[in-house]
Amino acid sequence: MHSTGYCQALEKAAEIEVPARARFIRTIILELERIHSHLLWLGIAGHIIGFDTVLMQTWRIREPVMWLAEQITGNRKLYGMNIVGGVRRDIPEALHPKILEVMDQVEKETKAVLEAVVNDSTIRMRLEGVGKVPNSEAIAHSILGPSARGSGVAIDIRADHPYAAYAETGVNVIVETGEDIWARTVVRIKETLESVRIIRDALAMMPKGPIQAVIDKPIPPGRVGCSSVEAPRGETHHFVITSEEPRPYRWKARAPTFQNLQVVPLAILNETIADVPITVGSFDPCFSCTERVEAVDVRSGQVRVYRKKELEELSRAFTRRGR
Amino acid sequence: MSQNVLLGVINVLLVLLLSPLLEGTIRKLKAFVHSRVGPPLYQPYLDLLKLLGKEEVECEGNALYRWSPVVAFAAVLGVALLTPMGLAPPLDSAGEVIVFVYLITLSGVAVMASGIGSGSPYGVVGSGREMMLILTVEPILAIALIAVAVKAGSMKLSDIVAYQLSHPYSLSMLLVTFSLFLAVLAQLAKLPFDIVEAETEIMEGPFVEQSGPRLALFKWSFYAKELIFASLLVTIFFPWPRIGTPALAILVNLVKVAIMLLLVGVIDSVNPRLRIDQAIRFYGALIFVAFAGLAFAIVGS
Repeated sequence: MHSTGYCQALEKAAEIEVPARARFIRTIILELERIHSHLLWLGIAGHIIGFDTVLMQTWRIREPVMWLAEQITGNRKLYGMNIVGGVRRDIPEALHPKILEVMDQVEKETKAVLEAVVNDSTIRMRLEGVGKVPNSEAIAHSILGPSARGSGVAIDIRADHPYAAYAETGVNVIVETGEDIWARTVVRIKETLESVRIIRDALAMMPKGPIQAVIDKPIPPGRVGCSSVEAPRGETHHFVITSEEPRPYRWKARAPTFQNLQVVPLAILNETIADVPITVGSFDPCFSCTERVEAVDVRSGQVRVYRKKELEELSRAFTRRGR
Repeated sequence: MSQNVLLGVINVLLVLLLSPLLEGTIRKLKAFVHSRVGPPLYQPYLDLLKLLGKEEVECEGNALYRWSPVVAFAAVLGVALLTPMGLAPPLDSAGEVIVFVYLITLSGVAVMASGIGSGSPYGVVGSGREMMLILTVEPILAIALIAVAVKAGSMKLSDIVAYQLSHPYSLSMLLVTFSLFLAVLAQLAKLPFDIVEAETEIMEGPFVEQSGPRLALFKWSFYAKELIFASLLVTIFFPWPRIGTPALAILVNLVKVAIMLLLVGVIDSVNPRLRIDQAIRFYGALIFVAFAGLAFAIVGS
């Protein structure tokens, strides 16, 4: 997902045309990632509210997706599939039936999970009306991805600014208006089903042809490229300035978690301790994506912000002490 | 007298030696529901042995924190002496249902004391939850047992069992069994009432600072409570058939206990954790069911 963002930014900067087949393959990989990420989140949400059966079952459903990713890319995670100008590996015809088979299985079992979760009154007791983010606040705080779509904000980079092959496959943006954790949960489960639909369509529509663009001249320096990708957690932006050396002069990635976390204080306002973990969890936070930590001394009220470099040094010192 | 001592030894040994096996069975069942292989049946024994052999990592806690595991364990063993497990309850003359309720409450209070004594914020929150749960669940337990006592015309557990054996089921007993079973879920800290420990919220709450042998005592007392409460439920409410041979009676009781605990295990694996206020509202409604049971018992139906 990040590699797609980076490659697209560079391709825009250098005006490289990506072959159609490569764009479809990127779409399939991106959606596979979304399926596994949403199922992973659902399991963890279940675990947070003490429902380990949900955790175990969703991760069981997720396992064939990981297997499929390994069949296509060679890796279960961190696929290493993208290169500037295309993708590294083709999806051979022989794999198509396998992909469709796994998609059928995932669809069937995710539907079963959706039905079980919707009909479980105890789950709804825990999730409905909790962790509210009103529509106006969601817009004011610019929260992203499923967290925003659960508050009735219909934003999705895939539909708003199509990239890869999303213009061809189309994307039905899933929006729920509940504004609570339950709405975010339903958005993610329904998006999983939508991803299955996209993969099926992309596989059927995929044209024949090369999977890499021919890049015969060096990338010109000083060009600026910016690209946005809809990650499972929300939109992710990559910004690149090219240089004379074969590496970027500047590169900045912005992941959605830091943005989404801004609304947490509001969502947990006046809630009990029991609701805090699931409320924070409902934004699917990736804390390693936020690259800074704020430490507050409760007695003096002093705030100290640790930035990425200091955090790195601290963790190195900690590891050394551990040995 | 000597017969009572023998019965007491049998009960305590049953509780100490077999309760981890029953816990292992519950874990196996949960694993089955989860589509997992699950740990071996004897895993709880290994857990206890491991914890008993470990060093104790002390926190700044006071005597409450240090002695609460012993109190909890002793209270549960005391309850074991009062509970009929296939045979007559060993301490029948001393122990009536009132003592039973007191001792069970004592084990809950020990859990509370452990959290408060440790001084850990997680522990204190867990203790607060335990207190609220005790205040709502113990009355149900007491009302249910008193309803049975009213029915049998005696506070002694042996008389109650004898009465139940010779009388068919009635409306009051149905209501009482129902409310007692649900109260037991909270007593055993099973989902959806696993609120005191709530691992993902307050990191095991009152037990957060307990380690080594002291944690083992707490865990053992919880395993023991499973066997005790299941025994109480089945011997009071499903005492049939009357069995003469002692060994067979114990065995049949264990089978019934295992079935009861499997039911608890199924409920445990198909529910998320409730919030404390939701649980209290639930038990607040349940207490009326228990009262209805008591009322029907008094008017004799």
